[in-house]
Amino acid sequence: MRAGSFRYLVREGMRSLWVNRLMSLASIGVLVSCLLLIGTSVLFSININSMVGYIENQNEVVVFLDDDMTDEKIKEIEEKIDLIENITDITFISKEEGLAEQMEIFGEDKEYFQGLIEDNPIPDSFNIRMKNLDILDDTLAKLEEIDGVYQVNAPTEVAGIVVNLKNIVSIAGIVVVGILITVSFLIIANTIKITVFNRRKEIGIMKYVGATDGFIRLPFFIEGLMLGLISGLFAYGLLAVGYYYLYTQIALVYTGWLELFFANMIPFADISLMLLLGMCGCSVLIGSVGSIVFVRKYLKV
Amino acid sequence: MIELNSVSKVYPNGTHALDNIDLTIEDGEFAFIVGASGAGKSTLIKLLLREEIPTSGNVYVNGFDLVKMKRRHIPMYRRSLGVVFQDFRLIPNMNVYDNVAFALRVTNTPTKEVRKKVPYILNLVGLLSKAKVYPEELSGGEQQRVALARALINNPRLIIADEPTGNIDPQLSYEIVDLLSEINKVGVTVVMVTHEHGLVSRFNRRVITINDGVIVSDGIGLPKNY
Repeated sequence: MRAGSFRYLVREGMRSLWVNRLMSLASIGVLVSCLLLIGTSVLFSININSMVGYIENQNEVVVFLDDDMTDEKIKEIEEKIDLIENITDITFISKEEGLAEQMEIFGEDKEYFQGLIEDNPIPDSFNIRMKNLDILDDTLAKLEEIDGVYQVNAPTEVAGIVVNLKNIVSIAGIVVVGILITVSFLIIANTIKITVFNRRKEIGIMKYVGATDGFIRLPFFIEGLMLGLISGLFAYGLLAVGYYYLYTQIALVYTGWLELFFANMIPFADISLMLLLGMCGCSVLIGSVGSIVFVRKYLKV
Repeated sequence: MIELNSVSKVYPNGTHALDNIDLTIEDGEFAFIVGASGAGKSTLIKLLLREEIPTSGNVYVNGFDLVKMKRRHIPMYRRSLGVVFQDFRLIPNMNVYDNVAFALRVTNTPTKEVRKKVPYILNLVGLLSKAKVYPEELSGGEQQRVALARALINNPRLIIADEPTGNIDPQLSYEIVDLLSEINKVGVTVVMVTHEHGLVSRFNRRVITINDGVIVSDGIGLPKNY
């Protein structure tokens, strides 16, 4: 195909977007609605995941060490713990700090502990946080294997609940998004079908004049691509504004532990690029490929 | 040149549309094809446009073997024809100029040439002043002249006109056939399907009569029993 013909066909695609503007508008409306629905549920889902992830991260495993540890030995153990992949955070708590902490907890009754300062029964310990509670048992076993570790205390019950919650949340998210994508796909496919059906005569005429399939398809491809791009950008814009508003408002409304919870809402900047590419990519793909597929039916003249 | 050798067409529903037809139309001829509706005229046209292929027999047009032709070669073949239909078949959202230019553009004609040829041919059919007008704003006769301009723009050796006067006033019908006649004078083969006997009798040309899928008469002027 000559470059001039290509330019002509691209221009035809753009022109057709305007000439069939009512249908274009309807298609954009449908595409934007579907994208908003899917985008919202994806955002909702990944935020819930992030918040559950926050809870997951709050778990604390305490590793008590044997008595009479030398500084070198402690350092060695810390390095060994650090080698375990699942560990995100290690804090060393010395005997003295451990006692002080206990005294703090008991508050007014802390004088009972005064006698213990000389002969501190609390061992040196590490406070550990881990990334993934799914493999908690595995990680605990690895910790216990380390030479010099006396005992490992872990909130296994809480961990079980959190892991369950996490699984339910992510499965529910995938199911909801999956259903929405399927339904959207059907609606969009139908819309494109109607658009092409409206112009089946035009396609037939072009064939009679001796146009090749590619010559007829290219404008439809361009048109579908543009519809997809416009819808993607528009839906992204709406979602961005909505998300930003929610992000700033929620921070003001909630206080206390809920504030901590919502502090784990993912900042828009972190996901904006992914969201933009995802939405535009999907809608451009479905618009352009969809047009080509449905035009085919009327090319058989 | 058009050549049909023992061509039969049976549709999947069992209709015998054409039954063992032999027909030759030489280059430069002007032929009317007449017959009642359902006689097989439309099927004949569909075969000539390579919309359908015959159940048996051979069809050769302009040196193309339409039966053995591959699907991807159909556009090439169609560009060697000029086709005019009863319902004009103009693209509704393109103006007169673009409708005519479209037939050039499908052949990858450079824009410079399009700009030269289209006004020339529109002038020929007397519609240069309506170049920017859309088909729906034109009368039937004018639309058919646009369709004719589109059929002519690629300098075809053969023009196939399927009831070109079916949707226009009798007086304008005569003008259309007259225009086809003029085109034929410069050497273009014209095949026109019609059932308007009045029109056929005014032009003393070859008339091929089809009835029940068989050619029942073939000669100059209308047969006596009509």
